[in-house]
Amino acid sequence: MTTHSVGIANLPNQRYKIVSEKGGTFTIMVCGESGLGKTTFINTLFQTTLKHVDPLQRRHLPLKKTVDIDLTRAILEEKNFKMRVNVIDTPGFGDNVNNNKAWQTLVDFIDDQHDSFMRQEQQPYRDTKFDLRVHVVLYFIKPTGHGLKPLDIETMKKISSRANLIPVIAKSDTLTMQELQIFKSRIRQVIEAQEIHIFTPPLDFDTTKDSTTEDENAMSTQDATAAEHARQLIEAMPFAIIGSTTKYDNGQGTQVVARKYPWGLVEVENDNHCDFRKLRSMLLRTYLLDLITTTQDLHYETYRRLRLESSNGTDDETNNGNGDSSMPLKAPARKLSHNPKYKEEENALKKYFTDQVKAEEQRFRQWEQNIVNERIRLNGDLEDIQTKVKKLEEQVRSLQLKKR
Amino acid sequence: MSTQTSNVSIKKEEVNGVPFPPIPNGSSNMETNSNDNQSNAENDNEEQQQQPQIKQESNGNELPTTQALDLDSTANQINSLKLNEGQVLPEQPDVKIINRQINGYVGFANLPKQWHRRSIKNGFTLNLLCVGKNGIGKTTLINSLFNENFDMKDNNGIIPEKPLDLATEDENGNDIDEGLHSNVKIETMTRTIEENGVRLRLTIVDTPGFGDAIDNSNAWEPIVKEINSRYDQYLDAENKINRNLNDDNRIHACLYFIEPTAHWLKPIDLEFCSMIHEKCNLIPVIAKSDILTDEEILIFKERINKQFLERNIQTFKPPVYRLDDKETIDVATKLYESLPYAVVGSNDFVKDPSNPEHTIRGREYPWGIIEVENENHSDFMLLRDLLIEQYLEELHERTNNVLYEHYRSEKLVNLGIKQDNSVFKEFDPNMRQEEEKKLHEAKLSKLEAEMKNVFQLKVSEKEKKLQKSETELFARHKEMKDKLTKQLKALEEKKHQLEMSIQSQAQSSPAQPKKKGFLR
Amino acid sequence: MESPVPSSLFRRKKDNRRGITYGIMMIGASGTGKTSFANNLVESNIFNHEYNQNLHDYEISSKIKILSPTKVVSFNSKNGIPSYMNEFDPNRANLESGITITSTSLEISTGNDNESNIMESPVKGHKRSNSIIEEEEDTIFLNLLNTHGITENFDDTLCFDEITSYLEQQFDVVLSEETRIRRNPRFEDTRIHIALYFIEPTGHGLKELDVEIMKRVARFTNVLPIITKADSFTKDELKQFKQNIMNDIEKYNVPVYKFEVDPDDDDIEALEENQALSALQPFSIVSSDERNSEGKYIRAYPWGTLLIDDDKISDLRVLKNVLFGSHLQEFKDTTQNLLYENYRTEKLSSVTKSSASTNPDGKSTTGGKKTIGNRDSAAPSLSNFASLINTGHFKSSQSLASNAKLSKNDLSRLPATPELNQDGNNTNAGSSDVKESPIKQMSDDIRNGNEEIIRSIKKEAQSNDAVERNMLRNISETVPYVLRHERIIARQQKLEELEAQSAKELQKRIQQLEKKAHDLKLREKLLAQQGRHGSSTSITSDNASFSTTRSISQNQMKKNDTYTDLASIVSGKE
Repeated sequence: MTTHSVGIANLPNQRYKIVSEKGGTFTIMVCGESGLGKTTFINTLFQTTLKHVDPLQRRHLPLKKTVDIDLTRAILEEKNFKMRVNVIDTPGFGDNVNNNKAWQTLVDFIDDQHDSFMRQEQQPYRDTKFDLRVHVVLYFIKPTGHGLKPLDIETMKKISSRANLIPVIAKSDTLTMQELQIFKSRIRQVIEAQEIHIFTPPLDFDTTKDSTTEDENAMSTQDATAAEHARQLIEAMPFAIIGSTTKYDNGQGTQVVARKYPWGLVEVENDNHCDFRKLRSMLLRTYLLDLITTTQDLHYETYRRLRLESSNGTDDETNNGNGDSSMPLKAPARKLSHNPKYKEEENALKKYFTDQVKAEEQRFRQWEQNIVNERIRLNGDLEDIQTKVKKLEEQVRSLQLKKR
Repeated sequence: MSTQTSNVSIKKEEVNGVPFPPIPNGSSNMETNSNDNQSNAENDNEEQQQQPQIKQESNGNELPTTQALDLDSTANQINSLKLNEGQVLPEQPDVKIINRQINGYVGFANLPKQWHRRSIKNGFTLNLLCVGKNGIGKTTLINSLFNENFDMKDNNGIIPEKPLDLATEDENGNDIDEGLHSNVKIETMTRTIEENGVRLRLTIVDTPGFGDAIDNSNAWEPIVKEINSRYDQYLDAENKINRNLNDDNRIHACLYFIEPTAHWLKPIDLEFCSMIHEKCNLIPVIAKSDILTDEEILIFKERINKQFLERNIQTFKPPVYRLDDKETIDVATKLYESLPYAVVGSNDFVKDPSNPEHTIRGREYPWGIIEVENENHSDFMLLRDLLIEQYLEELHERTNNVLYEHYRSEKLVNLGIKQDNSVFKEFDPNMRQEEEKKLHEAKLSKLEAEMKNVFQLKVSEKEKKLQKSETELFARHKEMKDKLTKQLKALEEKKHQLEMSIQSQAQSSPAQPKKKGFLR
Repeated sequence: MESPVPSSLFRRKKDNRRGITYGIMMIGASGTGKTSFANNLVESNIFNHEYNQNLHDYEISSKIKILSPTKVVSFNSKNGIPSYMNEFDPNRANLESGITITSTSLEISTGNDNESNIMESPVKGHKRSNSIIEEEEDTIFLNLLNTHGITENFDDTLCFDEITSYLEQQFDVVLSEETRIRRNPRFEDTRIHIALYFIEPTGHGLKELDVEIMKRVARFTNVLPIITKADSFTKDELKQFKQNIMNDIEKYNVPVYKFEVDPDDDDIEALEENQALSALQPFSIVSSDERNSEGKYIRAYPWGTLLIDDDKISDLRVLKNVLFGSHLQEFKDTTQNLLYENYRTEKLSSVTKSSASTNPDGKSTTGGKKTIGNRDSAAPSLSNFASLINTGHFKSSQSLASNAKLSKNDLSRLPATPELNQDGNNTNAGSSDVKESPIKQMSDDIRNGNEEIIRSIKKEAQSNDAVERNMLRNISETVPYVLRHERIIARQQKLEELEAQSAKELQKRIQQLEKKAHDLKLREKLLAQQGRHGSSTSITSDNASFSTTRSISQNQMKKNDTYTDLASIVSGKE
């Protein structure tokens, strides 16, 4: 029997069309010490100058910095597809002598975005939501050739529990192949040993179905190639990258994005020179959707669950009292992020008062002492008079006796 | 932009006083108006920005044009004046947005492709509500549509799948008016259909008993209840702490079977449609249309549409997109304008007249063969296009983004949940810093005041205590001293007197008493 | 080739009969290539890389002799655990490494083979003779210090505290030796004459850390900032970066060594040379451990290979020349005549404050002025130190210091101070008790001395000789003690701190382990229960029991791991 197809095969195309029309939102956070090429990388990745490298601006900054959030919003259009791209930079991270808690600002930002989205989602009317949930954090590792620093580890741990984390080796053109291999393997070891959960492309393609039809076979071979690609990406992690926005002739008449040194041309999109293409595949070309969905389904849901659980432990009663599970659960207001400066100020204030209290106590003690001294003195005074009185009494008595 | 069309549908809504008492008419209207304004504003802005931008790009300049995400503020103001409900976006910070077109291959344009792949992996769902009188050919049509063989009457070989609890609940609800009015049951059947590796999880929600009773005035009630309870289920799932929103049991579309009377729509039809059209996507079909001539069908359709218009009943309208070519737009227009579809279903296969080796779905009459899938014979293919091939996902989108949201908003407002529009404020790092600074300063000054208070209190207490003991000390001392001095004086006086008297008595040595004392 | 020898070399040759003692310290963030540079500097492969002990074959240039192998001279860390040259352990990578300073003593004979090429000045149009080699064979006793762990801590404050305190100690050692009555003939000067500060190749500018360290260290040594890994810059970028750094140095007033032109010096060669060097600053270098077939150091990338001593790419050869050739004596001189003298004055004035205060005012000020004048002429190139000089309190005590030095020999007949100074080498335990008495004694001495001085002033105001002699005796007796005492106290404090910290760390670890053990027990129980449940169903039971056993064995393995961890902490503490 032959009939027209029902049309189900066309459903993915409908999805394609809807997504094409809607566009997308992608929020990427770059994190790492200054001078590791974060800005250049962003410009390289999107092939346009989203952020300006402005050496003059830096000049005005004080030497001691706080970690800031620098947000760049853009709507980029490629092949009629519109993408809302948010780039979050964290200038000042790791640049100070004391970098304790340097990660706090980043972590707070990520949490804040989850929190804000959750609150928007709870409103009865919520047609327009703004969404700055961070889909991926690129952590730039300094190409030391040694290993990861405690600051790197701590920050990556903190980030990886709330967002997709992809560590990258910045400015990898200062490492030779051998050095890079050793460096990568060390980083991988540390990541594994320290239980840092980095984002990896999914390898679990549907193998549960026992596919028999030809279509299925075609599908599974497609899956197999995808799995192979994913495996290659995982093996290359952490990606070694270089950034550049300048194009040079590669010697074969093609203009390529590269860095030109006296000893050679480092091509950004050359797999033998760096892993830029792999990273781009991970970020945009192949696994962009995975980044977005894991942010929603894993990180956002985890945040939401933890928030609601922590708040509902106490007011369980009230929620049950309503008797309607349609009520959105209320989460308590987020506490003020602890800016270390604020903490310092608070402590300074407290210290000021303790000092004052101490000073006052000292004064009182002195005062008390004075009173005691005074009492002793006065008592002595009185005693003096008393002895005089006694003496006089004696004299009087003797005189009286004498008189008789 | 995708919501434009759907907004229209709500905008034209008119509450007929029956089941949604609490919606103030204005609110929903204004709400959708504001949305329209919003999306229009965005559209306009983008278009305005886009034009010069392209020119700049062609000049080779990459000057970032910035644009404030400034929504139509006047509309918002009007809204906020008139009502407190609905989403009113707060005043947004001045956010700069770079607009740029990229010529090279960056790769984020692969996102739709990635969705394509993902959607194949995830599969699709369609929950289709079929409403129509018994024997009107619902099962046959469904079987013809999906090339399946559901048997709705006997449930033969088909396990009535979930949601069982929903079904029973509704039946319980029905039990009350069972005897009085109609005996509408809800039956669901689920099948997974696969085509070229694409899976569709199809759930048919049948309503046997609809319109079969003598008094059908409330026949719509169990059905609306069913739809609502499915929404509620989803809402509950959404509010759970551990939530899993993958199971979507909401009704995505309602096929309403109109009897091929060629007259007018009956009150029960209109009643039902007006009840249902803002709850789910309504697709009316004229069943068994093979008994009507083409001309009759045309007139009938016209009448039905007129009646729909009179009652403000909105049927599902396929959306038109920015990127759509003329052909697609034409198809969409045709699909919409051809509603309600005059369809024919068939469980039988007949020989293809043009190609006798093949069999096709059709009905063989003495006067000829009606091919189900022949566009010239019926609107069957249009229905299939609308329901599956072209717009199934749009049914989903509208259900999720418009109809469900509408239901949810009302429900939550009725539960007394207040809209807090301040949470929709865009993030701005500077502003946030300032806010935090303010909070911090407030906290600090509060702390300072508290500590100062306590400190001063304690200090003054202590001071008073000390002062008191000081004055007490002095007072006591003075008292004692006075007493003693008095005593002293008295004694001296006495002594003096004695001495004087002794002196006068006997003029011996004056130092005698002293000496005596000394010796002692 | 036969150009005149620069004046600096003449100066140097006066006192290099037996070889020159020379101290170089490398300071910089971890991973900036200090070790590689050290290897390149001596053209050998004798320094091990962090975690990479066996990456390259050991090789040593024929001109190098290792007098004493690399040893840790000082360290500090928050958790009391030094991390220098630990095996790479990913499980412990999250621990802060603190800071370790290591020292290596090398004997370098500047022989006359291929090194002559290196010593040749690369400055354009200005050829300098490879004079060092031609004149005579020199020996440099190089004390090469390296710092490990900077930027590997959350808070790097302890790094520069440790470095400065180490440098100060070396000054103290010299000072106490100098003021001692009986000098040690085998005394080794461990002062650092030049510190190379390795700037990370960020392309931006200086960071807070850079400025802080350089400022602090500059009190005790010459600081020469160098850009490492210059192969990460294109030509324009490097130019810009150098400019940025010089701007920052100016802006933050970082007292780095500058090749300034001496107006009194009419040696045109030196003038030109300094101008060229000044224009080149900060030097940018590339280091490598890899050699090509010709024996030259290279860096081989997939996109090209570069020679590290290619003058177009790096200033390595210039830097080597400055370090071992043209400016060696200059660095030594400024360290001795300016930095050390300043330190000495300050120190002595603080130590003998009480006696100094009784010093006739008029005399001291004139003496102070004189020395200031001397200093200015001695080291005119260090304009950045002007502030330092002006702020020092040596004015009142300057005469004391210089006189002490001059008349030291006269005082040699004085009886040696008690043997207690031997205790200085004792370990921390009980040393402070022993030290109490000399301090008391010392302060008594001072008081006595003061009284004596006052008396003597009263008696014969004209005879300044007696006053001075008394004071000098005081100084020679007290200064070594005070210094030693200070050092001991400081060391003891540090050791106590370290011990406390490591104890704390240990406790923390123990708690963690206990918690872990508890968790493991719970999990075991759970698994056991699951295993029991599993046995009811046929197929899964096998898997379950298998997995439980496996997980148990894993648990045991983990436990073992943590125990070894514990052991390593204990050993690390010692």
